[in-house]
Amino acid sequence: MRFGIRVPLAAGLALTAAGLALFALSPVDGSFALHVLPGMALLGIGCGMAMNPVLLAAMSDVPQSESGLASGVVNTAFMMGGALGLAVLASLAAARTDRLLALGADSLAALNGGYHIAFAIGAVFAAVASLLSAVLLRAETNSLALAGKREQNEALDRRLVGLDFHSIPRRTR
Amino acid sequence: MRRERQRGRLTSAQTLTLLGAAAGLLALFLALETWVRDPLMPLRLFRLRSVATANVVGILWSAAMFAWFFVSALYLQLVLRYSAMQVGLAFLPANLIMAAFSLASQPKW
Repeated sequence: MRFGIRVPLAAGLALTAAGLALFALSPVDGSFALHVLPGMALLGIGCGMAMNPVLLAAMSDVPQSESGLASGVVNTAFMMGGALGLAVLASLAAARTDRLLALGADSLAALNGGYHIAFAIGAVFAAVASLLSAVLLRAETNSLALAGKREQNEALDRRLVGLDFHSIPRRTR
Repeated sequence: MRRERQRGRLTSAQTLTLLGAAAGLLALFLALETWVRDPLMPLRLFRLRSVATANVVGILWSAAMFAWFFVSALYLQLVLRYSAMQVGLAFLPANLIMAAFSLASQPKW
């Protein structure tokens, strides 16, 4: 990979955090060009940059016989994180909205305040993920090992975009 | 909508019981995978630092991402009063940029 794994992953997640932070500042009467598009663009760049490296990191150093297992595990991590994160952040947003309403805020401001909490905590999650990948991943990946995994990774990519999700192989024994 | 929320609150008995049960089942799963001779999911995989890091990063990132998709659509619809079509179009730039950067960061073998 031209830029390795660590740098694009950490940078992409940092941009994701920045985009979420912008959303956490969005006003009640925001305009698309000023308050929606910049955050959307940062999230697009950040997530686009981070997607390939995180999958490569999840598969790197894994023996070939366990690559199916490793791809299944990272898939599960994504699904589990998504389900938990959505449930927790949406609940926190709803709780914040209820609290603001009880304090006498008008309904739009209360809704917006609730969403701000969800975006802000999401930004913290992404920033922590960026920090973890910068600190814990090695700068150099074993390019020989990666080259040997070309077909595996292409198969992984196909599975992860959901084209043949059910073809994840059982671990070869 | 607001009245139904009482039952599904984060601190309601139902939520806490289910969360506790889920944590217990996860702990049981990990214990079983440690004890059995030929585990379905060998935990030694997580001794690889890159694998463990990638999975933790994946959980945090997808937690932020899925919540962002959901909550920002609500923000656009309920606060900014966008129509469903406008919300879809508002997400289009992000998705096009994501696709472009994802392709640009394809590994070169």
